Amino acid sequence: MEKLLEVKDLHVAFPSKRETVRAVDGVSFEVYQGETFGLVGESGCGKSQTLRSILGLLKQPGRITGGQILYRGADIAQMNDRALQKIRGKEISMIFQEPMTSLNPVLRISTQMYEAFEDEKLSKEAKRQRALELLRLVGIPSPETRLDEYPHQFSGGMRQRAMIAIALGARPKLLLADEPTTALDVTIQDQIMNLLDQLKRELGMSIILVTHDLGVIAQMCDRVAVMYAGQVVEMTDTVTLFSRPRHPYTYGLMGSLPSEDSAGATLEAIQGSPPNLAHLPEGCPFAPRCRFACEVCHKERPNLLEVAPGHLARCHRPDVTEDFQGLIQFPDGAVREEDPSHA
Amino acid sequence: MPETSSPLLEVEHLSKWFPQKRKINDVIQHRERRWLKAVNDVSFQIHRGENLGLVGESGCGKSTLARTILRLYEPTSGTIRLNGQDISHMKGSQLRALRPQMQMIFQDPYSSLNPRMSVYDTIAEMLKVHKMVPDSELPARVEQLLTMSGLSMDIADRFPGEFSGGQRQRIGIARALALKPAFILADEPVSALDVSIQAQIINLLAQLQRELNLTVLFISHDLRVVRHITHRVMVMYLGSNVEVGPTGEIFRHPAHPYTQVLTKAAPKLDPLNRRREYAIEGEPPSPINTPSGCKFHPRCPYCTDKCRQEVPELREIAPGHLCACHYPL
Repeated sequence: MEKLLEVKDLHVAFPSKRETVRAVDGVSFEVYQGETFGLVGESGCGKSQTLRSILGLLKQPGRITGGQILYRGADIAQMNDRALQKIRGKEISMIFQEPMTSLNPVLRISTQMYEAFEDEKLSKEAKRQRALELLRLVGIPSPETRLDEYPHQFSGGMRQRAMIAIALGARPKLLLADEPTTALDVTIQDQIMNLLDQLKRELGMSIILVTHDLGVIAQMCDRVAVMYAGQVVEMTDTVTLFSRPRHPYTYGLMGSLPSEDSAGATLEAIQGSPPNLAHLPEGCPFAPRCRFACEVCHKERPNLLEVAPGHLARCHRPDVTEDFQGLIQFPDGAVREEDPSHA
Repeated sequence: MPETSSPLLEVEHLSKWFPQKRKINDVIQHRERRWLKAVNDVSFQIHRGENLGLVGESGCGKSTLARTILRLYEPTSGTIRLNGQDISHMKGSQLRALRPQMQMIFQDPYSSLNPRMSVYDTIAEMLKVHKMVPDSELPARVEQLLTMSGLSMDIADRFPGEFSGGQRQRIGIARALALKPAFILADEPVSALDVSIQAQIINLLAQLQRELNLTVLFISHDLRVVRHITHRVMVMYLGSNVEVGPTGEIFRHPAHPYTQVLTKAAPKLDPLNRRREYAIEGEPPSPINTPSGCKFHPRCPYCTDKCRQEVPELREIAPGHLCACHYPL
């Protein structure tokens, strides 16, 4: 598979007069063609900033302070706005959590859609046909009337579909999705997840999906990076992550979720709260909340180590995590029958 | 499970309708006023020490129902009885005397605390207003409440802005418990929190409920949380109660097609068990023009002619398990 995007040792900082917040602190990952790559973590872990920095969309005063973002070999991190403009929407596109705040309320959906293929110098009729085709693709009913409406006339789920249609306008190779289903009801979330999955397969697109919801990760992603305090703490394929998590934080996250038979039991919550990014502890940022922390954890920052082939974890004590049982049984060699991705 | 003594809260045929603005043309032509039927003919009970979950999608009337029960709204029709006393149309001082008995935990701990009041003042104010304890015992009671919520007296002089979301929610819980309420309404109390913090607050709520024998109406859209923490569940769709029953049974054998859809739509935490078809198409219709017959019929996969014409009654299909469907699953 072709490597589409490579993020190498990315650093993002938000400087202010008093202190500097290192929102992203040395993040590296790769995204291959046709895969869905998940970035999961809690608020403030740097997952959204990592995603935003790819298209140069960091909010002020945030900026990339180090590292490379290689898209098909070219470093986007070094590009100026003009050069980025050639990539935004056409090669890499982005959808956001709140469709109402990302759509322009005073422009018709049609006008917002045409912007995506402005460069192609299409006739008016061709543009309209293309837009209708996109609305049909994302499952908006009666697209002929919907195209001339304004965002406020759409429901939440429809707005999200419209935003996806706009993002797909110039046929991007890579879609960045920042919590695309978080603001939606479960039944609509279910529809949007399936839509993204179907589009990915039909258009051969890659997706980077940022979410805090492990359920969404389980249903959509091929590979996952778990982030904590600006760093990737664990990275592997989704099945391995859910069956054999190797970082105590990932394990803690899974224990925090109520399950089918947890009723009445106490959840294995992670104690304490995430650290302040401007004042990180000296050692492992997770150490103050970690059940397994020992002396070295409080003193030295751990490196990202390969704990199994293709499985990285940032932990000083990879031995204690060896027998962690995740939320599912590891499929011993055999692929289970109900797994449609292998069917 | 709590015993089936007399229920603490009884709601019978409760409706809350909001009038829609009429255009001048409609007034001239004597067209009837249209109503948004946010809550329509809902009946249920909560027993002492019980945690009843209330689930449904946004706009289904969960929050309106909650606010009507707390008498923040006046019901359009129907009765609400707390401890056998009819509170549906109470006013003025009577209503004020009722307030301490019913408290609320809000979704957003950021906006539900006064940023200019210290933690101590936030909690002490309620105790003073309702004359719960003599002034000399105030600090001791505040400390007791903070400890109960997993906080310490060290933070009493600090302000809400200095705390994380989880800590703020703990302050909100301490405040809700201050007046020893008979009934607590928790409206999405963990939805705004991160997963690891969410688990702490869920544990705290479950523990307090056991220890203090609290009666809780727990509103949430997160079915995993509801399944974990509640004894019984009530499912709402477009302002009506479509199913109510013991939590385990509702999740294992949902009887209403809508409940089945909801339970299926929640993403499973299993990457080996992925679904490629979605649970339901379309979105809930507007509560102003609700469909005829069963309100769910336009989206129901099992719909028949009877469903299009007749409104199904809420009836018992198993002991304690009620469902409003002509053909329960």
